[in-house]
Amino acid sequence: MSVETINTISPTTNETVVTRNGVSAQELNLLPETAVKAFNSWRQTKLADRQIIVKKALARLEEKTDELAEALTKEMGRPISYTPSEIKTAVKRGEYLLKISDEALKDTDGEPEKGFKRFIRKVPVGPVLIIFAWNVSAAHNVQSVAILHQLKTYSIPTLSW
Amino acid sequence: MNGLIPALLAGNSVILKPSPQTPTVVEEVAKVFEEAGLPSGVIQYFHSGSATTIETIVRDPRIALVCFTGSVAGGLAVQKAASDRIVNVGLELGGKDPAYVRADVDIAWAAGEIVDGAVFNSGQSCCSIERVYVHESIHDEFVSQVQEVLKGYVVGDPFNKGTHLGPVISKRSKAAIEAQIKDALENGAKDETPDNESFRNPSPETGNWVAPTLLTNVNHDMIVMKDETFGPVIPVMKVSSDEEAVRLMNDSEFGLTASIWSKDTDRAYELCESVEAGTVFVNRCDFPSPVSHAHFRW
Repeated sequence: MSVETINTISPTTNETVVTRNGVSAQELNLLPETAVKAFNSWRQTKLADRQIIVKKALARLEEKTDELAEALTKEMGRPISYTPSEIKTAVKRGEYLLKISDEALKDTDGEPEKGFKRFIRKVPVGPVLIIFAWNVSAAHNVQSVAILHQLKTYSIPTLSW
Repeated sequence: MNGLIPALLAGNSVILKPSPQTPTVVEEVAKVFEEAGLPSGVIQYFHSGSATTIETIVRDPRIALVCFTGSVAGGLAVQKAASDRIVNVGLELGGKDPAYVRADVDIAWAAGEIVDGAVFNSGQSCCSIERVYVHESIHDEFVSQVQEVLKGYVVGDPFNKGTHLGPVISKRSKAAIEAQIKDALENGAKDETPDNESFRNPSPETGNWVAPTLLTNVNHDMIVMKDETFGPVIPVMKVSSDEEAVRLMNDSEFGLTASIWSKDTDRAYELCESVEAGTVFVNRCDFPSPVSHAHFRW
């Protein structure tokens, strides 16, 4: 099966500005496999360690603001006076999500009852597929903050072993 | 960002699929995470312009959650592909976001904000203002203030720092926006766009240009008031009361954002309760981030 060629056409010049190969059938099949393997170890890391990586990545992304802004202007025609703000906003949003992550991911206590410890824990769901449109290439609309964890209920009797 | 960051923080792995129109940013995002120490395979991405490819991966039982941002048609296709197994699907789709301007507003200020909200990124934002309802007592003055604002806008080369509006994304998109304008004009709408040199002769000639277009005398029989336009069109319709405004705002299959413009914020908050939209703004439109510059929506 021949691999798809993807040409990004500039809306300003109507000429091809970027060319990429589309994913092949084998590569497509490998993506979930790799994602599952990566998930199985990533899920065992501590939130604090994940936060450090996210923080570093956001800082690095901000350093690349001008470069990324130029790419957006070239590929989608959004004026250069606005695209750096798009990258900075994406970083700012990421920093906010980072800031609230301790609170958002902490356990929720269940109904207290003598002899039981109950709580709800937020745990990851697994490989997440994110498909996004060209006009939200860097950031993403605020109201679409997806629920990217699942709830697991714990009800543990307190035994005197 | 709203999908990727929480997904990673919660401990998920992520597969990103960008639009063929903007392949570069996702590659750079994956790179910065790798440089920051993210283990290999936690973020992956792929490029594709094929609906069959998307369907194949959405159907893959190893994918635990699907987030999609894009058109209604695209979202429905993803939902359908996911429908034969138990998997969460998050969709953020289109909008036909209304603005309602009450009689007590600061007209010049509201006109400036609303034009900005309607034509930013050439109107190609899911949360851009697509319909404007104005109280009849200030309608003419509002239209004239919108004209004043539009006189100062510049359409042209997006690499020019003075440009407000670049081209729309494709020739097909340009044709679709122009078809909506044509339908409105044929059905009695009036084109009240002010004269502006850059609207008439944007350059370079090769661009998919659609100048901001101010339409009055519109109604809900016109496509431009019902279907998502995704272009820099500002249709303005007279209303005679809050009730009529709310009824018209709700006369839509979409419900993404809405805005109410009034000095009486208590009344505006009351009206928010009746407006069927996920986000209702008072005296502003979509500014997803409280940062220093006005242009932050997409």
